Amino acid sequence: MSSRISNGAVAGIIFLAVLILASPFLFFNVPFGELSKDGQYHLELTEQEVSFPVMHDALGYGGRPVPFSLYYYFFHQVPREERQKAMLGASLVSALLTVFLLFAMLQHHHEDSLLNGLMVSLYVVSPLFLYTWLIPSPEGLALACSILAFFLLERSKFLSVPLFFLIPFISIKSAIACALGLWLFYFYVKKTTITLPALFLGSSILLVMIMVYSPLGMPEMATLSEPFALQHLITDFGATMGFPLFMVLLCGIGLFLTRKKKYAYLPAYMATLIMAYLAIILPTMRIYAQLFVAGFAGFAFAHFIRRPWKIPLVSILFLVIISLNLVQQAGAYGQYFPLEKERDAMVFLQSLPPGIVFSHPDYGFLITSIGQHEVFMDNAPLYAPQVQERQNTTSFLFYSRNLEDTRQTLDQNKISFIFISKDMKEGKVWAKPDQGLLFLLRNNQAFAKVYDSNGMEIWQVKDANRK
Amino acid sequence: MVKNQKLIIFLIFMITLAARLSFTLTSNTFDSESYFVMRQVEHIRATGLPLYNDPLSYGGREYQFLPFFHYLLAGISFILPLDFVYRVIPQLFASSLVIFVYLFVKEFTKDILAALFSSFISGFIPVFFASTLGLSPLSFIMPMIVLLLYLLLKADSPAHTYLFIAGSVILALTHYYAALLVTGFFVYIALRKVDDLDIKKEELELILFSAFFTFFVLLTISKRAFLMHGIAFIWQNIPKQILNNYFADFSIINAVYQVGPILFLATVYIIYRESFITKRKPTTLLISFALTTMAILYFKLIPITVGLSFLSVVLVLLFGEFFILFLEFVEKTKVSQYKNLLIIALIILFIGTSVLPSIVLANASLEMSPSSQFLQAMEYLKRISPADAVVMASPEDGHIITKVANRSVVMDTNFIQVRSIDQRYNDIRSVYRINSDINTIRILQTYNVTFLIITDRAKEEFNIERVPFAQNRNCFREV
Repeated sequence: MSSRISNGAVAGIIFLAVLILASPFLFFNVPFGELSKDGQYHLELTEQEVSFPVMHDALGYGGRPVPFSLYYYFFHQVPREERQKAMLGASLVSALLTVFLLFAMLQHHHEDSLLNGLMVSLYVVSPLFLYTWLIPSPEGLALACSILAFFLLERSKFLSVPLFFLIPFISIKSAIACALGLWLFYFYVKKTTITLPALFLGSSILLVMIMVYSPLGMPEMATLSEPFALQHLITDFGATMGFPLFMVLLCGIGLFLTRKKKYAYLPAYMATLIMAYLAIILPTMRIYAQLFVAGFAGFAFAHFIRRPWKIPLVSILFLVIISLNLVQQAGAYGQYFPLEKERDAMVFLQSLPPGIVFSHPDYGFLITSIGQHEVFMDNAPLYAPQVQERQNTTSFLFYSRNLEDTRQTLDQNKISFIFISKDMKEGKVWAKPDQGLLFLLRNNQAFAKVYDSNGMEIWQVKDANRK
Repeated sequence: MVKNQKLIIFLIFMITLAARLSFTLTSNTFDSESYFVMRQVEHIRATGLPLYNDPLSYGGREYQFLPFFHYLLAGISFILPLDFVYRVIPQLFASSLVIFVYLFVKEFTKDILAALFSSFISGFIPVFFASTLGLSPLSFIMPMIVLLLYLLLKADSPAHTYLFIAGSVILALTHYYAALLVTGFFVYIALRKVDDLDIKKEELELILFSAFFTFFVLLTISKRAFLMHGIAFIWQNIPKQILNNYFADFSIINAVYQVGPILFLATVYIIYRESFITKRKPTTLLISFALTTMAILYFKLIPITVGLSFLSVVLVLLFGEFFILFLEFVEKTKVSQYKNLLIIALIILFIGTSVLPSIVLANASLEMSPSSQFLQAMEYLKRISPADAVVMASPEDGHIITKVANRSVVMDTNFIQVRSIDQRYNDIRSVYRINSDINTIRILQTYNVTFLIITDRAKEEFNIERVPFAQNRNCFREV
């Protein structure tokens, strides 16, 4: 390991990462070891049969194919009772390793502890860092492998090659981000080192496309409504997988500040542009885009620290404000975990007979993983059957006030239960207390409320009226 | 050289204050928004905290706002009687605008006569005069903005920079209108860059500080509103129907009348001249602020009266330059011997086009305030109704009902952080407009309404002569 790395800076960044990773358990009343909502979904997939090249998710969408990932294969081998802990533990270790390697790599190229430390620290304090590493998923492991591969690339090209080859088998999206990384590497590091890794990565991507994705065909994607809407991109506006507004602002300033060396930064600009586009259309890619955002934001932050200020008081206050703004985004950290009242409802759902549950797609993973019931729709529509049709049906069921048509649709889709949360009644789905389905639920011949606690409701669709 | 500048500026201040007090001290009531401020001030006096969890507004809701103005009034009320604070202090703030305008124009033009003249005009900007007769934070914000503009011009001196820092902190904690100033600053930087003109380092640092602090405060205080409304937050969740009404009567002619026609025409010329010929720093700053205000008005982000008030003040600041040009022009003509007479004529012209419209608009504004009878009715409602009664009325009357009657209302004019606001407004509207007992009863049950209030304001807002439900004696009883 390079002796040039400042031990103090490394220790500080690792401590910050540990603190951030522990923050939901320390400050948001999340039970220690609890998996996040999306993490429950990945856990559930490891509990099902892992087959190559296509796996099967029995509960989501009433059964659907899932592309193979080495991640599921690996954790499927871990004993069931240890699996959750192993997934979370591996994720946390990967997080710390990634942070350390990122800093080490940056230091290796440009010995500027302040700039590098800020870049990595801004990545660590972003909500997407927490999302990536507290939600055990193939993307997290693939990101850790990618960073390790790049780290090894400069030291032992041959050691990095197997990693580059493996990454597409863990996550194809990570492989695309990795390819972009290699392209940047070509411009900024050594022009000759990437040929072999690029060859292996490219052939591996091709292999995965042919073996895994080709049998599945082109996925039917749900129409992405308002992909540019800030609610989907900015955590301050409610995005789950988004960027903090302040970080985006700092990133913009960083980009602006680099304009004087525009030719030197041209490849980075192009990569940022591509990544920004991918991040808008594919939410998972935001995990990688955050590295770019944090990089430029760190550049801006370092500029402000080093700037020769004319008014000393302003410099101090300014840096305090930037730090407070960054701390403020921690408010988004708690949103990834199920609330206690949601968990209680799901535990009750376990006791109900099997049947498909209809709810907002945001609750899909909870219903399948903790509630142990099939769900009509969740937030993983890739390769799910009749996604567009299901989306239309969901809209119809939410807003129709025609009892006969609603019953018919529920019967056709074999929906037995309806889960309604407080958020759904308060704007997430309905704006009025008697809107759409809420009005129809008053009909006690068609529906029976079987659970009502803390604003969470479970309704049973009565069999007696079924055709 | 004008002698006794301080005395003259003090006289202008006193004339402005007297004119304002002649309205506020003779009126028994305040405008609707003032009652919200009063409730907040009284809550701060009692508990030390603003009423962020209001059990009466919308039948109980959470509402975050920037509380500096309310704290300031509450603090002063520990020294002075509350009624005095309500009636006099905001007018003192608003009148202080003349002092800051004087300072800015003096710094900008280096001409005392121009500064005094602009100062006098600023005391009687019709739209600002009429809209700040109640307990409006605008009466505090406007002088503060002019002060900050002045301090930015004097950024070389440490004392001024520290005052700027303190002022921008106070402004950011007073109202989200601080964002307007910050946006203006950035437009200023952009315009200077476009013209390849320099910006002093001190200026840039102060602007950056102001921007980041305002951004931080807005993000902190409005976090929940952001989460609830997303980007629509910047429209303050105003119901579409009301938003359209805000701008329905807007016309350029009307705007020019509210700003003052002479002021408007004179400054249009100055903007042209300064934008294309002289390109001086203070004018660029003012033009940036004017452009920002116009853009924000165009996108309906602030109420017209507020937008026009900002615009008017900028025009007044620019007017100082016109005044100098006018005198220079007069000097070159054969009527130069009558210069003093021309100045007096200009003053008379301004009295006709600014002072008189100010008085007319102020009278109109007071007529819009709730009548004494309405306040008595609210007192009566407080006596006869149970404590958990819910009242439906025009949103404009909401704050008065919560303050005076101390009863819960279905809607008031603080729309932010309320879900399905359009639905709620349309429900109220349909109760007042549609002759359907079934529909009316259904809506009243939805909101648990026990009392309905019919006022002239409600009739005007919903554009009705008669209220349909008032005819149904089986379901409704006049109390």
